[in-house]
Amino acid sequence: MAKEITRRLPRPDMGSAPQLEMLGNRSVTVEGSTGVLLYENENIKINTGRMLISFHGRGLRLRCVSGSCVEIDGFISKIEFLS
Amino acid sequence: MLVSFIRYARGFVGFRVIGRTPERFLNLCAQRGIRLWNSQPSPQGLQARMFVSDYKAVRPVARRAGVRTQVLKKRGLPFFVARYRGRAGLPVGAALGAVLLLTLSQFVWNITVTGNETVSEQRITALLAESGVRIGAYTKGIDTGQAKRDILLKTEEIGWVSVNLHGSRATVEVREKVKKPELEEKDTPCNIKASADGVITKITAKNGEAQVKVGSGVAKGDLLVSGVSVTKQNTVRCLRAKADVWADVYTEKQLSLPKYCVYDSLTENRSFRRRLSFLGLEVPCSLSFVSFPNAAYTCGSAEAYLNGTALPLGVVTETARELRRETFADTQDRARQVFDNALLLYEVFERGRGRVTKKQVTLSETAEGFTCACSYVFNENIAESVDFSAEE
Repeated sequence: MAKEITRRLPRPDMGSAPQLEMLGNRSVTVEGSTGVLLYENENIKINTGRMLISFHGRGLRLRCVSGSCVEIDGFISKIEFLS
Repeated sequence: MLVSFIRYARGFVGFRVIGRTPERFLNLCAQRGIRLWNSQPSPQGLQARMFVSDYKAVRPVARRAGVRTQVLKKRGLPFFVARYRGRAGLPVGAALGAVLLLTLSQFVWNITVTGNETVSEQRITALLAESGVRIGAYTKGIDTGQAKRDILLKTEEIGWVSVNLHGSRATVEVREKVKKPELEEKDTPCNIKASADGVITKITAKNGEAQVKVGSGVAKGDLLVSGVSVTKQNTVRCLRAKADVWADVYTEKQLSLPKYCVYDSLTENRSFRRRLSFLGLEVPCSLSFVSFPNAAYTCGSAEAYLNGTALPLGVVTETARELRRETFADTQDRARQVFDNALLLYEVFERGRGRVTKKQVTLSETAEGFTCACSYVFNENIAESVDFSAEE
């Protein structure tokens, strides 16, 4: 049981990497963002420092933007990690 | 729901960001802790909403981001209050209304009584008033349990009562006692005796031995059918006699009518006094200086209703109608008519069980008035059960 919990937890050396939490392809929460680079209905680009995450889809919109967290709603069809 | 309420209470603006770098505006807002919601990209930039307090601080952010903001709509309580700032009467009136509503809700506005059939609503309301449950009473000071006990103690007809307070309404549910039916005696022996003097015309003895025959005259209290019978073995058996004994009963009825009678008649002259009733208090709202030496008074009330609920507001109208005293002289024809009506009522309501076989009316006139002597012969059942002890 203890081993399973350890396996599920993120690795310690990934601390500075962004954490993405998805609910199907309808909602995604990006933690560790440093800013929004592009905001369009079909494409939203989020800067996370190390890399740039690009969300493609339809009817995309930013539900919430705070200092380090961005929540995106809409029909997500593709996610790209650009570095 | 709660979030929407908070947004409405704080006030928010819907605005448009026009410029080439609306994303930079978003990032700067996020860095400064300015919350945005409902953001949507648009061809010129983006649209979003934010609290009105944040919008005041967003101008330097927009300048730094190289964009322009344009307010599209304003919503919320601060804008509503600002719209009516010049009209002090409105908030004062609203506050007074709220205070009035809160104060009035502490008192009983109306009382509803349900379930009563023979006991009148006025009697129950009067008993409730004695226990402190009345229109205008302070609801916190009402002891509903005591009111229930008082009503049950003071009325024999009520078997169960419930007094409930629903806000400003008092509802009283009543269940009346079911009267115990009178049970027919079956075991106690009895005789049938005559309830009046008369001449027997028919005897139907269902149980017992008849002691009289058709045509015989009997006086009140005479034995008609005996409940004591002798068996073939020469033993005495007591039983409950049951019989219908019809007899011609002679009765006289005397009526009199004075020749001159004085009575008061209503005229068309009337005066009204109105009182405004509010929570049981009555305030005169009209002055009437017209008074009559002899008058009949009636009192009526009109209550205000809102959606079928009686409000503690109404108008009580007291009407005084002038009475005129008149003397009327009766004629013989009219006296005959009055006597005929009175005799008809006597035959129907007082001797309704019998049938009139003979009737003779004698009308006489004196100086004081008219007298009527009517002699009747009624054919009626004179059987009366009289219990006796078997030991006698």
